[in-house]
Formats: sequence, structure tokens, C-alpha cells
Amino acid sequence: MQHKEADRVPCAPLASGAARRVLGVTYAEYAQDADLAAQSQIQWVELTGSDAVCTFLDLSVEAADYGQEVKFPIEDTPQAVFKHPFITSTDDYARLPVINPRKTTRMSVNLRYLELMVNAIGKQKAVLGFIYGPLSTLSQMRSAEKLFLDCMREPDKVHEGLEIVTQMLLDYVDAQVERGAIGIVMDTLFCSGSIMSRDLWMKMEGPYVERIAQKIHGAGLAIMIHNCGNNPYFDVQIETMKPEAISIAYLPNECPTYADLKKTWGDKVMIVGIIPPSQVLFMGSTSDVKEACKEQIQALAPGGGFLLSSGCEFPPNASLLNAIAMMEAAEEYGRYPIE
Amino acid sequence: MGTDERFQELLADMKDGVIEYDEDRVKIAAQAVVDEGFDAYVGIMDGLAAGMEVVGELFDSQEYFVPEVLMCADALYGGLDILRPNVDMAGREAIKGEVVIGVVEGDVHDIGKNLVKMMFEVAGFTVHDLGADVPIDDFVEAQISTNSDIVALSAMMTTTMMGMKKAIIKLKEKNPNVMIMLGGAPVTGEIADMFGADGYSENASNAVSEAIKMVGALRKM
Repeated sequence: MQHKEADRVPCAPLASGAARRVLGVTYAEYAQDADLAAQSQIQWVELTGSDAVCTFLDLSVEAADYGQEVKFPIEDTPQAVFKHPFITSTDDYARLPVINPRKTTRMSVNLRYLELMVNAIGKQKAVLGFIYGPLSTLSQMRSAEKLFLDCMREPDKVHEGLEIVTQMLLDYVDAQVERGAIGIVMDTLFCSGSIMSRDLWMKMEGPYVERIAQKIHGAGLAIMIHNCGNNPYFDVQIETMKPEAISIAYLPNECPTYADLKKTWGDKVMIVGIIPPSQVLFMGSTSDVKEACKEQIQALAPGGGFLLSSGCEFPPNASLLNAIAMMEAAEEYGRYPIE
Repeated sequence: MGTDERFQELLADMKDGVIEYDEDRVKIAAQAVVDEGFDAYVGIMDGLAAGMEVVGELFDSQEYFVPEVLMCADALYGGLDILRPNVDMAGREAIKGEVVIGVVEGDVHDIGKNLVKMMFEVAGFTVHDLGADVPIDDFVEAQISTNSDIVALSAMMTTTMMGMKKAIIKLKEKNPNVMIMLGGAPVTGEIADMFGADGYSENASNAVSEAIKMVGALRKM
């Protein structure tokens, strides 16, 4: 993060659900039990040698604690049941309850998971917490489609919900700081060209993530934005959150190549990624993985400020050999100075 | 004002209403098309669909994004719901084809699927929408019961994408001639080929042109 060259490029294939397969528990168990989640992640780090972990479980954690119905498939990612949305009308935004993340079901498990990870490996590895952006959290309770229409038709009502969720997320940040995270990953997927205009995002989510970011920085922690949308908006995310790092799966439109990305944004923020989860990590061979890693290391690593990682969560059901291949690629091609 | 002029005015109202996501304007114009005895089919194609074509271009050039397109879709459906029951198909070109569409089991992301469905409907396909989180056997059953030309599968996650491969095997087992089209964030043309699909759609606009090609190929068999 200091934009200096260390001995080699750091590498972290960021696993959530994939870690469960090292320990050998089901996804449903991993997602709901802090001890099993921590044991899974500790074994993931032991198997792969990953330099960093993020205690991300899945995207429905915050929403579940508001009362959104969530299903827990045995071997698949937990997800909101949109047939039964918690927010059924725009009047419901203002009625969201005040909840305490230290005491609610899923967030308290997530916090305990973070605490266990910091205790176990916090001195040797970077342990990052996670929060889902306030607008995205609302989407888990309303469905993205209806939320977007609400943003267009009744933005004031959505803002009422955003304020309530932000107050909770500020508290959630405090709780993660208390447990020793060195940084927090904040997911702001909607700040991308695959979702909405910069203008709409700045109006709807910008002010709230700015406050959350100030809280995180105020506590001395780093911010890593995760945005796996097409054409992520670097400019407004940096303007509002001043992150130390941005993790992406796709290049922003203004940077058609990795070299362009390094040139345009590489000195302003640590770049994290960008190995394609589906085509390479899920469908590819270990050689495909190494090839992709080599290309990105050569373009993005010189001068430091690059963390080689999966573009999004390491696919939960991908071959674990591909995670190991990423670490091997960092060793083989990522020794500084980069050739 | 002459009849043609009046019709053109109504077509322009519907087209611009879709582009500007002005649902009221579209509905008023669509109702007038019906009340004043104009051709509802032409109203759909030269009014609503023409508007949606411009919306597609605005989306491709990143002037419009998902929220705007959803608003345009609502405006379009406002008009379609009024015009469709009044379309006289006698003498028209045959319906383009029947499509079964859905999001694969385990996945609930359906905005893309809904936009593709709308494009198919506007283009004249008959669409059977199974929704999201659809078991593979439901796709098979729906294809058989509707005798659809095409089955369009969508998935947003790598975990559910593998369900597409299984669905293709089962669908082709029951009906080797059915055309299968894939779409969704983790899917690529290469993956679609690997899974044995007949087509792949990168976005909602090219889903329709892919589908038209597929049905054309089917009709030649």
C-alpha cells in the first residue's frame, strides 16, 4: 500500500465459500458458524499461503439482520429470498428498525469470525473486515430492480432508508475496529457503468459512504473498495472514500489496458485484482491462471502498489489448485524487480 | 389534420415517451391508437419498439444506465399492455418464435433476464417467463409443453452457471432440435460453446438478433 517494491508482489486469492472446502464443511455451516468460518479460513491460508484475508461471508449478512428472509443452500452462497422482500413499499424505508450489529444473528457471527482471525493470524497476515455499501444493503431487502426504480421515482424515501442503514454501518465499523481489523473492505458495486450513472450514484450513495470512510480512516484503518462491476468509477469512489486500495474485476472504460490502468490510477490507489473469476479461475487450468497472473504482474506490479488477487471472490466451487497457482505465479513472476 | 399525420404524431408520442420514460405519454398515445382505429401492430413496431431501439443505443453509449432502461421498460409495457390485445395478426408475418426464459436454479439475479424478455416480446416473440431460481426439470417441462423453439438461460454466479451445462444435456435429450441460448455475467461465448449451447448473448440487444438467427435456422430444418 506504500507503493514501494517489497521482495515480491503480494498475493491473496480472496476466498469466502471456497475456504469451506479446505476444512470440509458445507456452505450452510460455514456461513452461520464463526468457529467453522475461522477454521476454514485459517486452513485456506495454510493451504494457499495467501498474504491477506477478508472476513466476508456473503452479501446478505446485513439484510438478514434487518429481517430479510435468507436461504442457506447446502453447497451454494446464502442469498436473499426476493419472493419475500423485507421492504415491500417505499414507505418501508423509513420504518427500517434500529439494530445493533454486535447482537444480531449474522453480523455478530461475522464479528466473532473477524475476532478469531485476528487472534489466529493477525500478526502474520493482513486481516480485513467487510461491509456492504448502504445502497447495496437496501437492494438485498427490496431487490435491485425495484430499488433502482425507487431511486428514480422516490429518491427521498430511499434516502430515509439509507440514513438508517448508514447509522448501523457506522456502528458495525466501530465493532470491526474494536476486533483488530487493519482495514475494511467496502463493497460499492453500484458505482459502476454496468449499474448506474456517476451522477445518480453520487446523489444516492456518495454522501453515506463518505461518512463511513471518514469513520474508518478516523480509526486509523485502511479502506479497500471492492467493485466488480463493468466500468468501475474510480474518480468518484476516490473522491468520496479516499481508499488506499481498489479491488476490481473489470477495467474502467478510460483504461483499455492494464498498462493504462497503472498509468492513470496506479499512483493514486493500490490496485487489487484482477484475475477473472469465471473464465480463468473457474473454467481455466492452472497454466491459464499462471498466464493471466504473469500478464497482470508485468503490467501492474512495477513500482509496487499492486496486490494480485481474484477479480471478485475466489469462485466457491473452483479448483483449489487454481488458488495455489496464483500464489506460485506471484513467486515465479512477482519477485522484484519485475522482469 | 389528416389520418396519416395523426398516426405519425401518435407514433412519435409513443417513441419519445419510451425514450423519455414518460409512461403517461405512452399510454395516452397507445389508447388513442386503439380508439381512433389505427393499426396496433404498427403502433408497437414503429412506436414502442422504435423507442426501445434508441434506448438500446443510449445504453450502449453509456448515456442511459440500468435505472433509466428500467423506467423506459415500464413506459413501454404501459403501451404494450394497451396495444397487444388489439393486434390483428391476420396477414402479418408469422410470430418470430416461442421462447422459454428463466434464471437457473440457485440464482435470483433477474434484471438482465427481464430486459431480454422485454426485448423478445417487443420484437414479436412469445415468451414464457419461468422467473428466477428455476429447477432444471422445470425448463425441460416448459419446453415440452410450449414446444418452444428456444430456451434462454441466465445465470449471474459461477456456482449456478454449471447448472446451465446440465440443463442443456437434459433439454437436448428430450428435444435435440431445441435451440439454447445463454447469458449472464460469468458466461462468455467460449463457455457457451463448451457447454453445448447454440447461442450466446452478451447483452439484451443482441439477444434478439441471436434468437432471430436461431429460429431462422430451425425453420429451415
